[in-house]
Amino acid sequence: MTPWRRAAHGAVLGGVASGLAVRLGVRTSLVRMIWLVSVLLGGLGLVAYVAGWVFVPRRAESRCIAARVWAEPRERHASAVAAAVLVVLVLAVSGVTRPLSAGVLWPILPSALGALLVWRGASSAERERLAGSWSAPLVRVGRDRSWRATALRVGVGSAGVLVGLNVLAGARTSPTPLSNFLGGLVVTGAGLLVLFTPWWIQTVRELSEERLARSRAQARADVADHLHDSVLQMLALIQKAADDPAEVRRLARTTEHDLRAWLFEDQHAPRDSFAARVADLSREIEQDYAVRVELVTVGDAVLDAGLEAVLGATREAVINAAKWSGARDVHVYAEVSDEVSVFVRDRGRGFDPEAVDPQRRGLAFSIQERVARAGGRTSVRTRIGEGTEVEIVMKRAHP
Amino acid sequence: MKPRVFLVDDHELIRAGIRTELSDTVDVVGEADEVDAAIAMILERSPDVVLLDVHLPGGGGRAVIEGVRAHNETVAFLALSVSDAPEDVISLIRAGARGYVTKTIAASDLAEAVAAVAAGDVVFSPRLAGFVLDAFRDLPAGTSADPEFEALTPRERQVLRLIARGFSYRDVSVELGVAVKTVESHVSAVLRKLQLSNRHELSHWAHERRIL
Repeated sequence: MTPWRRAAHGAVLGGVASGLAVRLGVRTSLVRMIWLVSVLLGGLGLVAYVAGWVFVPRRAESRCIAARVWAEPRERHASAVAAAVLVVLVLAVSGVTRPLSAGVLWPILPSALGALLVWRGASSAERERLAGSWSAPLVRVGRDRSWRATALRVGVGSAGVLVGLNVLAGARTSPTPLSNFLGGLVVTGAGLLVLFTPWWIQTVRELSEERLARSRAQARADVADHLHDSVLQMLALIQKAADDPAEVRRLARTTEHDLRAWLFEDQHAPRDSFAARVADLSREIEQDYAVRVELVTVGDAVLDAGLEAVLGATREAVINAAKWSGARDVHVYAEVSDEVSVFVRDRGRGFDPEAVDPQRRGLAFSIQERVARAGGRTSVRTRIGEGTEVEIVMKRAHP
Repeated sequence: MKPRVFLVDDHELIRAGIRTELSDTVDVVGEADEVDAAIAMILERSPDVVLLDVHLPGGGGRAVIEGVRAHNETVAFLALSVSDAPEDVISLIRAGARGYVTKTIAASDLAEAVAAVAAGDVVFSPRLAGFVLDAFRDLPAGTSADPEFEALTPRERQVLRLIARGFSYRDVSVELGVAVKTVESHVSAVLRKLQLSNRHELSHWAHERRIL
């Protein structure tokens, strides 16, 4: 025969009854019925149930709750103290409400002790189930708006309130005024709870849903605003500029950058990041000239004077390429390691370094000058018809 | 013979655009706009190259690669995306894509990239080269248990740097004075390292950029 284990599934409270039914090979409902009768006939059933809960292990668990509590010195002491407090409390109450004490209070004491043990010693799986089984019916009842559920709730709730108020009203003239008063309060409170808890749960739920909906609407409005400001305006501009492919390309590219920056805003590096500043300047140049800047950065560093010089030189080199090369794409590669190197490359028309027009030489000179002053070097590789590449290298002050 | 190409993208406009751009150079044998349909049709038609969008309903481009490669190893994938995010790109490469290009790529470059992938080569855009350099950065060679997949050789780094600077494979071969085939074998080696490496630093890098 299988040992007696409390049921893990299909339990109403601790699974004692269904576990026993399995052990005896009878129907669970029969065991529960007998138990209910024994509770009504003087509370013995309640004590037996709690004892079963505490001393019979749950299915698939090796130790019972009492053993769990016993195994932990801290829990053992805490339970002993709590039990003492409980005994004193019950004795005090029964001293005040003498007539009740014999019939009602004696099963309550061991049951309360058992409940305490369950509270402290139940396994995490059982705790979880208990928490679920206590909150779930309330939520379910709150959601059930059928005629029958509502009628039942209102009926039971109002009956509780009426009975409770009645007991309260009669308390003064009864032989046991305090216990009647307390009992009346409890019953009235329970009635109110049954009447209003589902409604309250429902309200709380609706409130939080409404708040969620409102913040979603707010987010949607932000998106709409932004799309209107940037994308729709840009689309209008693009339609107007339809005859000018370069302009259309520039507008589309600008919108793309703008959208990207907006969508991935929080991923942006801080403002004093070299890589972020290179990205900024590429974007600005794309807006001002009809070129696409293909930017690749590897590594990053915090800006210092040397890197500022590199940035300035990079800007001029990219603008040079955008203005003079005639190429559609400008490649910028920036790598930060012990030194910073930037390559600005186009596959445009290139030039003869020996025979440049003065304006361009001026620009090239200003790039070289600026970087050299900060301790770096530049070089230009170009040939007519094969494009140009400017290289800027700078040792880092504090790598 | 034109390569047989299959398009996977959830935007009809993008598919139509690619179809038009490539109509002279490739044979488009089918298209799909979501993961499950894509896997089924690719397995049925076994194209030479699948042009694959990174973001797709039903699991993304990565799910398509994994679904197809479980049954068919010969289909090559070329990732095509508007996304510049390293996590998107690297995760597709690690799943088995043979290259990555952005949707803004010029039609002629796209055709070349498709032909290269169809021929078994690897397509490294400057951006992908930058991502890989970043991922393998600052790692001295031979510092870990499986050196073969742990670091890039100096030559591989050199090749990647040139690609990141905007050099085509041909430009790289001229610059280094080697054959184009040699350049291709270098980038293939890099791709393999990227796919096989389970290097700690790579996963750390990936994590920082919210990959995997």
